Amino acid sequence: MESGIDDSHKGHRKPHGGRKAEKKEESRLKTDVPLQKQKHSETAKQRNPKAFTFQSIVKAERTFRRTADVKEKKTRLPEIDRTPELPPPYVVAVVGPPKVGKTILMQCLIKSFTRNNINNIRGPVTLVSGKKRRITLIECNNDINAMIDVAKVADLVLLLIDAKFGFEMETFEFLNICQVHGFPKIMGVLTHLDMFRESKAMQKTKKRLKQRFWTEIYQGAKLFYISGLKNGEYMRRDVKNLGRFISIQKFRPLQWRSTHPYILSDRMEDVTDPEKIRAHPKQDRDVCFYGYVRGAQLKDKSFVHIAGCGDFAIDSVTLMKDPCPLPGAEKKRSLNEKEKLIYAPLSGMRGTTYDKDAIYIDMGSNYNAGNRNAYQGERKLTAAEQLMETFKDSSEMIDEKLKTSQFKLTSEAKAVTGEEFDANTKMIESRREEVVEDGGRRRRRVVFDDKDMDDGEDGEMDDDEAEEEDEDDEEEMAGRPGRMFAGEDFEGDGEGDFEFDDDSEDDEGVSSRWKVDLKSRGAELYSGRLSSVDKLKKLIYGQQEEKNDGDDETEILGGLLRVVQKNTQDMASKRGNNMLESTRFHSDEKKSGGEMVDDLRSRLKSLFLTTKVGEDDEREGVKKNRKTGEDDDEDLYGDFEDLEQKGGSLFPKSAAKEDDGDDMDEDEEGDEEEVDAKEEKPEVGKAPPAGNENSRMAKIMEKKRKLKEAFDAEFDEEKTIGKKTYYDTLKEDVAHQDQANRSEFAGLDNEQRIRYEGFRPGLYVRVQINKVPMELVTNFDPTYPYLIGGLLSQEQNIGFVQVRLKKHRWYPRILKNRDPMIVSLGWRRFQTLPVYSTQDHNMRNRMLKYTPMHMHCLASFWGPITPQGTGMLSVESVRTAGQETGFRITSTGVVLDLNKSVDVVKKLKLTGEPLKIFRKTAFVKGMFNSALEISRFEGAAIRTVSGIRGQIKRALKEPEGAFRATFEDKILPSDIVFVRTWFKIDVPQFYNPLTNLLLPHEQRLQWQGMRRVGEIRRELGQKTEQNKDSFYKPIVRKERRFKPLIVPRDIQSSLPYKDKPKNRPKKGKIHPDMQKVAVVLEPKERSIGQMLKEMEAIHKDKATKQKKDAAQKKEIYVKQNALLKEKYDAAQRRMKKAVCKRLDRRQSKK
Amino acid sequence: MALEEFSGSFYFRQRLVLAVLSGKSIRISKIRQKDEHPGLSGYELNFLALLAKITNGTSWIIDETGTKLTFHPGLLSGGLFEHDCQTDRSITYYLEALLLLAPFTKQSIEVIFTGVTNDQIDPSIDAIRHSSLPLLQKFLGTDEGLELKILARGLRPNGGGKVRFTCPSKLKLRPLRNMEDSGLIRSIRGIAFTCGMSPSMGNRLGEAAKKILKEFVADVYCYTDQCKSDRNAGRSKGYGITLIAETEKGIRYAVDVTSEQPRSPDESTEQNKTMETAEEMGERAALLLLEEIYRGGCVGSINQGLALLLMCLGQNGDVSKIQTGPLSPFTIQLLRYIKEFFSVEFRITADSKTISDSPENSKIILSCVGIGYSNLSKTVS
Repeated sequence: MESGIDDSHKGHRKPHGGRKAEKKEESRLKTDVPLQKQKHSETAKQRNPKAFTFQSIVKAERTFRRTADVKEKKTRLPEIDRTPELPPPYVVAVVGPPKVGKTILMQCLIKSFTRNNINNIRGPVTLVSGKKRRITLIECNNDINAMIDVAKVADLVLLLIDAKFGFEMETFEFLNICQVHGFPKIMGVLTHLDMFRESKAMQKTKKRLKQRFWTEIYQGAKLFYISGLKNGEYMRRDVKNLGRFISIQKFRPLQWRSTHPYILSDRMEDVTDPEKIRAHPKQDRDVCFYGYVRGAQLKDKSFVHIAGCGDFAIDSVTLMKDPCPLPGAEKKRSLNEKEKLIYAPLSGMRGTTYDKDAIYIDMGSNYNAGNRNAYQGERKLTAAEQLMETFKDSSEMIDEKLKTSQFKLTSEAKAVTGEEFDANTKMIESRREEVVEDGGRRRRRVVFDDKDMDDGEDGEMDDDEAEEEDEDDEEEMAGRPGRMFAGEDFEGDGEGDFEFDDDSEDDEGVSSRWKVDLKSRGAELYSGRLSSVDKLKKLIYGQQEEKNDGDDETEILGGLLRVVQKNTQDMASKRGNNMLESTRFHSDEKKSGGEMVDDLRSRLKSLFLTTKVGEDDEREGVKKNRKTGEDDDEDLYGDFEDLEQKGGSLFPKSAAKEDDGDDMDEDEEGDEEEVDAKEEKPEVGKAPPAGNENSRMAKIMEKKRKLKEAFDAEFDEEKTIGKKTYYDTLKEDVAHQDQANRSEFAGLDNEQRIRYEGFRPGLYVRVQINKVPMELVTNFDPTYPYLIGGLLSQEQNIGFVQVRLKKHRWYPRILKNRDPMIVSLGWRRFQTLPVYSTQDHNMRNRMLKYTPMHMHCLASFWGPITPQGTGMLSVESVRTAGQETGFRITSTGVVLDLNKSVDVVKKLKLTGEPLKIFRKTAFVKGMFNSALEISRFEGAAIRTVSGIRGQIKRALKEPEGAFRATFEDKILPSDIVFVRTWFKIDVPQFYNPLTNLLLPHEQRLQWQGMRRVGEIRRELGQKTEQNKDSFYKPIVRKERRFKPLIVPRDIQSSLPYKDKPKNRPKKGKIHPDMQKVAVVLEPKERSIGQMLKEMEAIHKDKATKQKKDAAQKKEIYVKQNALLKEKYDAAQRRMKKAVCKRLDRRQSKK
Repeated sequence: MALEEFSGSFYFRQRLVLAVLSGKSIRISKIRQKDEHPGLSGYELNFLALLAKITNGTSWIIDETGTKLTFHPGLLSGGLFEHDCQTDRSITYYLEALLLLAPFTKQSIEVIFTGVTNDQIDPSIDAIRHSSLPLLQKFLGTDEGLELKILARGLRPNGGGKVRFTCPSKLKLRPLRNMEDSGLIRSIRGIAFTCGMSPSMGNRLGEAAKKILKEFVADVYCYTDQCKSDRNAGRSKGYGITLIAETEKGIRYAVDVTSEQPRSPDESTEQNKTMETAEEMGERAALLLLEEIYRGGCVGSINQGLALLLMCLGQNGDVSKIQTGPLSPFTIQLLRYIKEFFSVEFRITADSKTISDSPENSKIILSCVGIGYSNLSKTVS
């Protein structure tokens, strides 16, 4: 948020004096209403609020729900505020079609802010607009390239509209560009209002334009009316108002810009060696850009994109003095004249500026070296001009002058000439070299160039020397035999550390030396510690030059038991930089472990959580541990004892520790007991000496408070968490992180901060970029914005970008697949060939030939890797309007996916004809060319045009490319069989960054790039090639005649009679007598008929009855018959038996 | 685009991982140029193969001598796949690198590694599982889908271990905070495993370690993981132990010891003579753990690199801060590479609290500003 504006709102103060107050007083007197009577004018609710408190539950519920809804709607995901303490100047862009008054507005604004008149504005103008605010004004020309770039950097846009003419296409194009690239704040400015003769017409136009403007941006967007010109300038009051609104504007952070660093370049210098340019005028140049870092932190050596030029790696970034600083912190109402600074180097508004390796003196626009004599008489020379004159006057070359020049160190001293000084320096140089040889060490070469002869340099050199010596010492130590505590390396040479490994006797001597002054050195421990961290830093980052040497590992820090140096050194010497890589912090000594534990038992114990730590801090716990450390059993029991003693004071360790028991350390055990006693019965407490009383009480209170806190923390935790909503925790998190971000590097000096953070926004820097095409310099045009956009990691790469895209509803045509398209994405503008697709339900990306009319579709193209969610825009062409007509923005979109391959397919139907048809099997030919192809499609579903489905089975031997297929029904020889396949589409790898800044001015407006096929054809006067077979022709079909159905005789014979074909006479040949005739009966005949029917029915009924009776009778008769027959049979049997008996007897008698 | 030049095979993994993350192409020359086996080794090639599996569009060229590699990274794709790690290096060699890449893939990653799970060069799989994964979870902000399952253990020389690793993919990492005080050690857990050996070996390992550690903290427990050769013990025999100490703030230190394993099947007979006893190994592990605890810091020495790199990849402008003990050589080199690839320099300060507490064992605090690294591969809808 804007730090410059006080957020606390003052309450409204009623005017007690002045015209308004008087008026009110008058009106009050006129009506003469006493205060009591005034009450009656209030509503009943106001008068008697109690009567309107609560009447309906439903209503109350509704109001409650509404307020809750409103509140919930207002919540936003909390974001970390990343605006720096000293933000860079806000970019205010003045945009509009030509001849709306952009330049005049800029001039007027500059004049009203700084009282400076710039006649010829070129490039950005930075000025101090208020006590805490700076702005950079930039004018945008009518080139759509410039409009896109400006939309990407502007924080506030002044959109100028010619009221007399109305809105122009450019205005809407610009608004759409803004929308895609983050939507900065936009204020409309209506000019040319004085061209209206009638005020009514003007009012109407104003209203109309306002409504349109509001629908485009948002309801209530600010629109200024500039009433007219006076002496070629806008009315002072209008400009002042506009200026005021500019300086109170608040800005929301935009996603893209808050994550990417960028620089809107103030000026550009070519720093290539002039000699090289002379030799090869077309060689690539080294160029420096100057400007404020905006957005995010800019990192040295990172990749940048110069909009309209290309991608480059930064060679170096240098911090520069802020050319347009804010006034100091002292409080005052407004800026004084001196503080109203302006910096516009391209327009000639700057003083003397000191660069890294040059000084620039601004001569103003009036200065002319040739005819200075003409001026001399008339006016006094400015300071800058005088300075310039001194250079110009000299007739000798500068080195000759140097030789003869003299300087005195003091007024009495002998003057030293340049030549003598030279001799001296040479002597010094040679002496230095000697030293180098003596030491035999590696040294950084001291460069005696002018640029390195800064004040700071000498000091630095000394430091270096010191460091070298340090290093030597370390090496010696490292070379020392024996092993010592690894901590020692870490701490550096100044510290006493004990070593515990006494493998070799040689060590003893060395180590005892260390042990001797253990205590005395302990005092210096703290400072020594700091230096050790410095050494670690140097170890890590200091030796960057030799980054690839495995030897870096010679000085390894830390480790508990050993010196790693020797080990790694050996390894390094053995295998160089090809060592085995492992994350393990290798421990090679196995034996000394036990001894180590003995030595460090107490220290180690302090690192463990024992139950007894309680309210003491660790050191207390440690002491106890040490005491009881001798035998474990006692230790255990000791713990329990302690627990009981302390009773209530056993609180979570963390809580006690957070309270920070610094003062508690000092408490003795006895003291605590006393406190405990007091807690129980505070009134009884003895009165100690009066002086101690207060502090003692305070201590007790403090202690009580802590106990309470600890108690609350433990037992009320759930409640407090319950109160906290998820949103609260989110906010808290963000607040903590914000705090950490701001405080972590706040105390450091600028140089260090830059090292850790990068160049944070708000710093003025010089960015050197090498190997830039020379056209950038030769075709420099300050009316274009020179935008240097930082790229995050991976964004320098190119891949396939998939965007969700929609044709702009104002663009008249739909877009064709693979037609070239100019895209603005991220910082870049480029031409590419998109492939449109849509996603089917099974997630298949099916290619589309054209974009849908009113729907989104996907587009894949080869382009720069840009984070997902980034807005994208495409334009038909970047040629200036006039040649082209209509709305130039073709589509807008958003990045969804990035990949190195694309998966877009199109449908491909392979067709074939039946070769031979069996029942449900058929041989199909013409679909494939070889058996191999068929083998890939075995089992694939095929179909005939008439809808009979089938499957590919196997390839046939003959003919090649034919296969056997089965269908669900018999197919016809005339059927076409097809298989539906999906064919992967290649997205053309065409990525052509727009390089409009490299083109000469006249070509910039003409650039076209790759053209559409249609355009080329049109230019060549060719027609589209068409396949004649693809034309639609009228379909002529013969009517089909079917033969009559003939049933074979043998089938006929087996058919039932009703299904047999009858020998019916042919249709139409029936005799007239045979035809049915409708019978109409007379009433008498009808009644006779009725009678007969009834009689028949009766007869039928009788007959059935008789039949039934007969059946019954028959049944009875059969039964009786059966009975009789049985009787008869039995009698027969008896008779036969008797006869047989008699016969038997007769025989036996014989 | 410009190539980053390196020489030597040292820190091969770091270079490639950073190249993939930063999208910068690299060239490594003089790889074991004067070695008797010049050029890239098997496991390095295997590592390249792993990168090819989890990325899309990665390409590399190895010159005919095999000592020069030019590597062009693609975009991380992730997904489901299997990888055979061979027996040259442990699975953790590959897994450690994958931990750094896995959060930034297009699809959440699910990989089954086969190979050696425990060896003497790389940290054991248990150490990764119990100390690296909780740390990674802090950066991801969730443990959903973050899992490392040991399906079978494998030892040298024949390997045969099987591990499944799954990791969700995230758009952005969280900055690391509240990592300035490690707290005191609360508990120690051990995992002793035996592969195709008597389960008593595991108990002996655990008992020996416990004997030493019990003196310091009461809460010591050792699990034994007995792997049977017909089920989950891989194809070689051996045993080992991983000890994990946890502080009251949930910070874990892990060390591991594995029985000596021959690098190839032929050596096995000879090696057996010099083998340590189980008790000795248990003791060694305990002492290593004590050393690790003594080094201290809010991250164990094997995880320093993981923590620091992910800190650097945090959200744009967000400060991450961590307290560590002495930095391992691996970490020191990684810090250099981080500066090279991402232009991020860590601020290193002495932890004043630990200086006053125990001067000879003080800690350092590393802090850095996140570069705003975002997962460019993940598809948004």
